[in-house]
Amino acid sequence: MSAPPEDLLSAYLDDELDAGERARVERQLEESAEWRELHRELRETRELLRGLPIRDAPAGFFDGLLERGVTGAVPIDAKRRRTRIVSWVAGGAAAAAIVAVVLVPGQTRVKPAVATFVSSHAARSSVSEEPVSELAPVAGPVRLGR
Amino acid sequence: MTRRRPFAPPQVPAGWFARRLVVACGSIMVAAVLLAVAPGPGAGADDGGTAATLLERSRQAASGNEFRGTMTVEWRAGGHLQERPVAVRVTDGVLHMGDNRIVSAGTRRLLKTSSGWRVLWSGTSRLANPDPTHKYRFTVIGESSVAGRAATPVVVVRAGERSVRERLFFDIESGLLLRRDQFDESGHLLRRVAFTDISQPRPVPTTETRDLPNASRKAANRGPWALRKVPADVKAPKRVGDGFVLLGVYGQPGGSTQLYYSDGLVGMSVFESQGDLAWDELPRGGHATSLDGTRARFYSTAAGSAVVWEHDDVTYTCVTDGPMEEVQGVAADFAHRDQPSTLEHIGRYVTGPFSWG
Repeated sequence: MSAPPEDLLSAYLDDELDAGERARVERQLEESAEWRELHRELRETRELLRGLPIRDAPAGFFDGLLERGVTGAVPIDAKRRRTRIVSWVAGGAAAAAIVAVVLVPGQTRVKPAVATFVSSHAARSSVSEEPVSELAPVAGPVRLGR
Repeated sequence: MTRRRPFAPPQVPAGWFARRLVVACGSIMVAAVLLAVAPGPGAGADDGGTAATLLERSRQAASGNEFRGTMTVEWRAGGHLQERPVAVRVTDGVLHMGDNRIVSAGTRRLLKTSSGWRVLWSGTSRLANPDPTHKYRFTVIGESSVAGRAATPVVVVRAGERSVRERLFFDIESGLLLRRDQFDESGHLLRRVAFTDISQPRPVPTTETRDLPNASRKAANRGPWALRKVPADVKAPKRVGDGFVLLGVYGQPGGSTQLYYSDGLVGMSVFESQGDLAWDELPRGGHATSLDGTRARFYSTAAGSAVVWEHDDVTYTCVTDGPMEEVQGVAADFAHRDQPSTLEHIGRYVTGPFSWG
């Protein structure tokens, strides 16, 4: 019997196989100690990875993946698995970006309420200075002229 | 027939020249002494003590008298003088202005808006005004008349200058400020607030409790509030421009911080807002200008000048009831911000990729 295909076992662990493939893998696991050993290693590795903190991918990682996906003759199962990895990483990056945007204040654009400020200044001045002459100019609508 | 007598110089009595010389020298000396002591703008004349008393009395007189009248507000905008009449009435210690658009009592100021009464101001000033005589020279000039009432005119000149910056007319009987004229450095009228008619002021006790309308509960109608500490991201120099002293720091409902300064005669507010100025969304009107090389926009209003600019991710709006030239020096004082701390450097590095604009 040939060596167990790692991608197939990985897909089996991710519950991505159809009923026929799933039955075939389970039959192999019952019959082959080599398959069972690889299945155990993959399962432990996955659990270990899930416990690790998420790191940013190195520069050019995604470009490399895409390039290989387009030009290389990659088996369909391997493609699926890599697509899955890319999806996880991309999803994590998107979530991190959303968190960053929500939690980290970006530069806001200020629209100063000039007319309101003029009234507020006149009111404050009228407390320290002579009130009638300070308030009379804002007793009508504040017009902003040249 | 008349014979012409040959020309002969008139006879001069002995000692005539000596007496004339003594008189001339004496006159020159007396004139010199009179010039030295006579009051006059820019010649060191100073009625600062009298003017300070008149100013202080006028601040109390508005709430200590009942009267009604009409004022005219004139201001220069776009090279032309604008004019607006304002009805003024004080009854039961409450000042009503402009068809009841503004009401005021004590230190509370309310503005009527479409969404209810907005608190323009509420609260006292803990710090006293600086002494205006440090910056200005005051001269009391005889007696005049405003709206048919006898008034004491006071001319105000900036120290070291000769041109008149303000003319103030105080009601001799009540102490009310009947008229205030303000001029720019070239002597052009910038603003005038003057009574055109006024009833006989009647003194009233100032300790009565005044009833004012209830302010709207809307957040936008909440008034500014005094801040005990200057927020960490706000620069608030204690002194700015030509003799302006910081008298208070206030939070504004819109999120900006108001710094109020005074030089003893003129007030100035600087509103700081964190963020870049949205130049394309500024109110219409005004004109482009420059503050010591910094792009700015200037607005002229009935209440004074307003200038908007940005520096170091902060938008500034300066409003003053004085001339525009006062803002020039102030902008420079806010331009020299402290160097960012290490933490700020790290923050900017981390948030850099997520910032825009």
